[in-house]
Amino acid sequence: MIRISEDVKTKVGITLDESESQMVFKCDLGNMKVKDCYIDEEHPQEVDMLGPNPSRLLGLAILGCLSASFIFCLKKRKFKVDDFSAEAEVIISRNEKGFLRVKNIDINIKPNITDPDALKRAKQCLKTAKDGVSFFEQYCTVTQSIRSGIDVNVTIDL
Amino acid sequence: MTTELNTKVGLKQVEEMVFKGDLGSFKIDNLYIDERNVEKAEKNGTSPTKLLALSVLGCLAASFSYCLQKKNFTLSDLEGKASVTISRNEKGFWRVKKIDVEIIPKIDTPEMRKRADQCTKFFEQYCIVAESLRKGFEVNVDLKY
Repeated sequence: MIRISEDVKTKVGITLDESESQMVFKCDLGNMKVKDCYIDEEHPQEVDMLGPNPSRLLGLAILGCLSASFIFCLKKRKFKVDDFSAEAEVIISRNEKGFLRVKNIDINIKPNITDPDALKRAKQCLKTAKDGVSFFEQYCTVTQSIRSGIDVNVTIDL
Repeated sequence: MTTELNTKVGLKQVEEMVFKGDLGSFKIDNLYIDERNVEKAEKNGTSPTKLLALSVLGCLAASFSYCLQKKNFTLSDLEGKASVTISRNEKGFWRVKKIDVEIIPKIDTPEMRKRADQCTKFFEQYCIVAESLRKGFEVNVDLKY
C-alpha cells in the first residue's frame, strides 16, 4: 500500500558488455521473466544492434506508458479493446550549440474497439482535462514528467 | 548541422496491460512492457518508468565512454545504477521527481584518469536524452572512480 505522501523509488542498473565495443551495455531490470536486455550505442545499423539505443528506449517508455494509461482508463469501467497497437516517432535535432537533443515524440495509438459502449468510454478518455491534455494522459507518469523539455504529440485512431 | 534524426518504435498488446515492444530488428528483440503484474517474478517485462531510467543511464554511460574513446582510452569495466523517484503532484497524479544516476568506470592508468577528469566537465553534453529531460525533472549524476 502506497501512502499519498510517500515517494516511490525504482532502480535499474547496467554493466559494460564483454564484447570489444565500448558502447554496448547489459541491462539489469530486475528479476523478470524476460531477462536479456542490451543498450547499444555502437552499431549504426539495426541488424547489427544487440538492443535499442537510449532514444528508442525513451520512445518506448512514452509509448508504453500512454498505451497502458489508455487501457487503464477503459478498464476503470470494465471495458476492453479487441486489439491494440501503437507507434512512436522520436525526432532529434541539434540545439543552438550543435548538440543533438530530443525535440519531439509523436505517438500514434491504434485501438480496435467494436463494442459501442466501450467506444463511448474511449471517447470520454480522450476528452481534454483542465490542464489541456486528454483525460487518460494524466495517468501517464512518464509522459507528463518529460513534457517541459520535449513535445509529446498524441493521436488516437478510434 | 540542421539535420534531424527520426527513430521509430512500436508495440502490440499481448494482454490487458502487457505489451510487446517493437524496437526494430535486433539480434535480441524480445522486450515486454508489463504494467499489470505487480509481483516482479511474474512480470513479463519492464515498466515505462524503468525504461526511462535505463534510457538516461545508458545514454550517460555511453557519453562518458565516448568521451574517453575520443582520446583512445578503452574502459575495461563500467557499472551504472539509476534510481527513479516518483511522487504525487498537487492533483494526486504520479510524476517523476528525479533520477539519480551513478556511473562507476574502471580507470586503469594515470593518463586515463586525467582524461576522465576532463570528461567529467563536459561528457553529459553528449547525451541526447538526459539534457532534454532535465527541463522536466532533476537528473543527478554521480561519477565514481
